[in-house]
Amino acid sequence: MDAESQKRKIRRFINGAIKEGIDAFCIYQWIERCHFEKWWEMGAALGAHLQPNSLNNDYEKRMEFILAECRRNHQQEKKAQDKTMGEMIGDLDGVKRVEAVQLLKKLGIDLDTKLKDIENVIQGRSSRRTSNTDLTGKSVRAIIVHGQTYPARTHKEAYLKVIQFVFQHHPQDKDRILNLQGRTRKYFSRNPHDLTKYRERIPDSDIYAELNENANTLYRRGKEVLQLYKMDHESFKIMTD
Amino acid sequence: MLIRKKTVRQLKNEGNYTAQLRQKREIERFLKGNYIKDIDSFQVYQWIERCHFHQWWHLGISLSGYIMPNSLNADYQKRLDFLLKEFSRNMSKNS
Repeated sequence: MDAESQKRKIRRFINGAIKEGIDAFCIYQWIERCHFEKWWEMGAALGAHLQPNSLNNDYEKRMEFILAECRRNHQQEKKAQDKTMGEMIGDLDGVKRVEAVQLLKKLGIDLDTKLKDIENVIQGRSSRRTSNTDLTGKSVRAIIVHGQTYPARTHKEAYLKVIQFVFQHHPQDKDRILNLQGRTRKYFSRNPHDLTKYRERIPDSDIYAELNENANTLYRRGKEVLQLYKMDHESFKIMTD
Repeated sequence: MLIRKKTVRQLKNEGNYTAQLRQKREIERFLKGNYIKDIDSFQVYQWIERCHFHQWWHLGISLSGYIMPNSLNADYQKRLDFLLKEFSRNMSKNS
């Protein structure tokens, strides 16, 4: 078995797809493979599957050492990935820092954006960005619309930011959003009493948005708003933790 | 006489589908030259460790010839050297 096939097998085991024919030594071997190939996250995850005192003393000691290395490196990796762009360019000196800030501004990348988010965008990874995944209970970090990243802390904020983004591009046509409504309920209105008490005024407009919805509905409705204005709704992504 | 390979189901029924026995069969097949899957040096190293753990000294010694020099990093090479020394020590003790 080569590195890639073993990696697949380890992943399947961590995801619970393999339940039979695995002994403690097998897990020890996998942890060693993870250590050798520097798959720190998987190595650390495998540690949880190993029962105490399932190996002899020598192997137990070695395993603890390897596992500690995996955990330490995983933490370091995580820390580096969690660094925001602002923190990263904070280490640069004067001119370089200014240049970096300008470059990020040109690219539409906010200083609060985390390195891992940018890497995800570059690699076109959708796992951390939501497309068909369930957003319920996930904490929001930012949104991406038309390739631009905007910080957001809640699903409601993300939703309002998308609408704000749309209004910035169609300042003369804000009223069109009022056409978006349910069978019996209004989603937007100028009169706050048409909506529930969970409404909020859309920034830079006199229109209120209904916010008494769950995370998935707000995300879907954000996409509908983009569609209504014939903007690229596929580009709307929510970055979650 | 043609000896047919046992199926996974048969092995499971006999209680022989354990990681330990499965890997032993794999090692033996590999040493006979009948193992068709891709193998890298680290896999051979893992098998050597398995042999050390279960005290299959003769299998471990036979596997040692299949690790290419400098295919492991310094730490693992050290560990491998230690394991091979243990194999030789135990083999000579037994003989």
